[in-house]
Amino acid sequence: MSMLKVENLTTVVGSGASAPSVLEDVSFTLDAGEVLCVVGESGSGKSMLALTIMGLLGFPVRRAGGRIILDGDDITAGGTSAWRQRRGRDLSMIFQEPMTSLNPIMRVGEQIGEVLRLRKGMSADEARRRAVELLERVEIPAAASRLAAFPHELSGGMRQRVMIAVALAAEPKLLIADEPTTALDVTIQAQILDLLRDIQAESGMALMLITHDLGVVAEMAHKVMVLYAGRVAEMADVKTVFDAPAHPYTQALLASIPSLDSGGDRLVTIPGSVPGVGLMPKGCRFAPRCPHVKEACRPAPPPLAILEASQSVACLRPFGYVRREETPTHG
Amino acid sequence: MRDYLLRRLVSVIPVLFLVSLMSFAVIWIIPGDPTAAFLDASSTPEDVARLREMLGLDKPPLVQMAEWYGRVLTGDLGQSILLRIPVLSAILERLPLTLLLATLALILAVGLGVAAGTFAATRRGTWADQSVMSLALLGLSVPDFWLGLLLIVVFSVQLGWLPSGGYVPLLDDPLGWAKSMVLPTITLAVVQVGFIARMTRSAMLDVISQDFMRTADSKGLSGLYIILRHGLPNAMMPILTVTGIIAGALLGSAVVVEQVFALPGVGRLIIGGILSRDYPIIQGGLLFLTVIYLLINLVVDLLYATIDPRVRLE
Repeated sequence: MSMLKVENLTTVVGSGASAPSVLEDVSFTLDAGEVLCVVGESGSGKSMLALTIMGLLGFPVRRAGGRIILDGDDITAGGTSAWRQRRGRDLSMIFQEPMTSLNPIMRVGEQIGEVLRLRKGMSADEARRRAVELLERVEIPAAASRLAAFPHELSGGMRQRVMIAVALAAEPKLLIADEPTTALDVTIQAQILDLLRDIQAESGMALMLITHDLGVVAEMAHKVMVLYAGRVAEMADVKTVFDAPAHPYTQALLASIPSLDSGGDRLVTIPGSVPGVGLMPKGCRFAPRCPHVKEACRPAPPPLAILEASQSVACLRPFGYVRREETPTHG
Repeated sequence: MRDYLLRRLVSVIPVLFLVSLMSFAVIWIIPGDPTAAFLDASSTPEDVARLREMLGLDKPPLVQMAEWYGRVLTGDLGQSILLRIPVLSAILERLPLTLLLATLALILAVGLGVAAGTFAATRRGTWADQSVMSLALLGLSVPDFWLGLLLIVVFSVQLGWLPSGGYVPLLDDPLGWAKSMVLPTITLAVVQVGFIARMTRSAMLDVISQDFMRTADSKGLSGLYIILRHGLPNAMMPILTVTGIIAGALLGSAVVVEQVFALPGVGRLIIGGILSRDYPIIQGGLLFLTVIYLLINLVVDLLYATIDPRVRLE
C-alpha cells in the first residue's frame, strides 16, 4: 500500500457547482522514500496541488472533491481540525520565498522550537537542544549561536535552511517543497537541493518537489508528474519521462530546454500560454497549443491511461507524430 | 539598543525647545491685551503697569523669552493670577486625576479596540466583521461631549446607577471613586476604541495575508495561537503608532470630559485659565501636556524597537 494516495482531487475557486477549477481529477500515489517531482508551467496548478494536500487553501479557493489518503487514513474526512493535526507532524512544507516565509520578528530558535514544544510536546530545554541539532543537520555553521538570530540577520540560503529545519522538526512522513530554490542564486540552489536529497534519503520520508526546472527533475526525481492547466498530463518514472515522453506537452517542455549544442539558434518555446482559470477548453486542455491535435481531442478531456507499468498519459495520441527515436532526449 | 535609545532621547531636545517657545508665545498669539481681562473701570494706570510688570510684559520680547526659558529650566512656571498659587503646584495637584483618566481610557480603548479589530480581521467579509466595523464607525463619529451628556442622562438621571459628576478620592471611598470614574472613562474611550479597532483590523488583514502566517499554519499550530503569537505582534507597529497619537488626543479630550463631568483635572484648570485669561496657567498647562505627549511618543518609539528588531538598525 502506498503511503500517500491522492484520488480524483479537484480544487476550485469560488462556490457553487460551476466554480472554475484550478485542479481537476488529479490522482497519484507516492511511497515512503520516494521523490516525486511535479512540473509544469506557471499556472499549471503545481502550488495549488501542494496547498490542497497540506489543507492550506485560502478563501475563496477550496477543495471540491477527491480524497487524500495518508497511511490508510483519509485526511480529508475529519474536517479542518483533524487536518491541522496532520500538519507539522505527518505533513510539512517548504515554501518558495525564504525571505518572507519566516516570521520577521521571532527568533529563529523559537520558530523551530514552537513546533517541537507545541506539536511534539517537548520541554523548552529539549526543544532548544533539538533545534540546535536541526540547524546542524541543515548545515548552518555555529548552530547554537544562531538560535537567537532574527531572520533578517540571515542570508536567503540560510533562511531556506532554517525553513527546512522547521519543516523537519516534526519528522514528517511527507515533505512538500514548493520551488524551494527558485528565489536563490544558482550555487546556493545546488547546495539546498543536495541537502534536501540527503535528508530525504536518510530519513526515508516521501518528498514532493515542485519545480519548473527540468534539470532539477533529472537530479532529484524518482517519479515525475507533469501538470497542465490543473490536470495530470503525464505521470512516469524519471527515466521514461526523459527517454520516451508520451504527452505532446511533456515533449514540448523537454524540447524547450536550451542545450549547448543549439548554439545561436532561437530558443524553443511552446506557442501560446496556459488558459486562464475559467477559460479552459472543454476537451483536452492542451489542445489549443498541441501540434498533433485532432477533432477527437476536443469534446472531452482524455482520461489518464496506463501506457506501461511506469507510465500513464492523458492523451488520445500518445507520442503524436514524433516517433521515439526522434524524441528530444535529455543531456 | 542603547544607541537607539540615546539617539531617540537626543532628538527630543529640539522639539522640547520649540514647544516651550510656543507656550511662551501664547501670550502674543491670543488676541487682545493680556491685562484687559483683569482690569475694570476702577483700574488706574498704575494697576495696569503693576500687572504688566508681574507678567513681565514691560521688558523687551527677547528678554522675556530668555527669562521664560530660564524659569522653565528651573521648574518655575510662574504664579497664577487668579488662583494666586504657583502654576507648577496648581498643575501637579490636578495632574494625577487627568493622567489616571487618560490611562484608564487608553487601557480600555486599546484593549477593546485591538480585540475588536483582530476579531473582525479574522472574520473578514462576514456579518460579524461588518457589525463590529459598523459599531467602530459609530463610536468614531460620536462627539465626546454629547456622549458624556447622553451617558449622564441615561445612567445618572434615569437609572441613577452612577454619579453625574464630581470626583471622589480613591482613599476616601474606593467604591465611590470607581463609580465616579466609569462614565468619564467610557466617554473618553469610545471614540478611540473605534479608531483603534479600524486600525487593528487593517493591520491584521495585512499581516494575515503574509507568507509567514501560512508557514505558521503549515506547522499545524492552532488558529488562535497563530493570530496571537505570529499575527498580532507583527500588526503591533501601526497599532502602537496610533496608540501614541491617541494618548495625545486623550489628553486633549480630557479637557472636555473633565468639564462635562466636573472633574478637577488639568483640563479643567486650563479651561478655567483660558476663560479668565490666566496666562501663566495656560502657558504652564500647555507646556505640561505637550511634554507628556512627547514622553508618550518616546515610549512608543522604544516599544517599536522592543517589538521589531529591525527598527534598531535604522
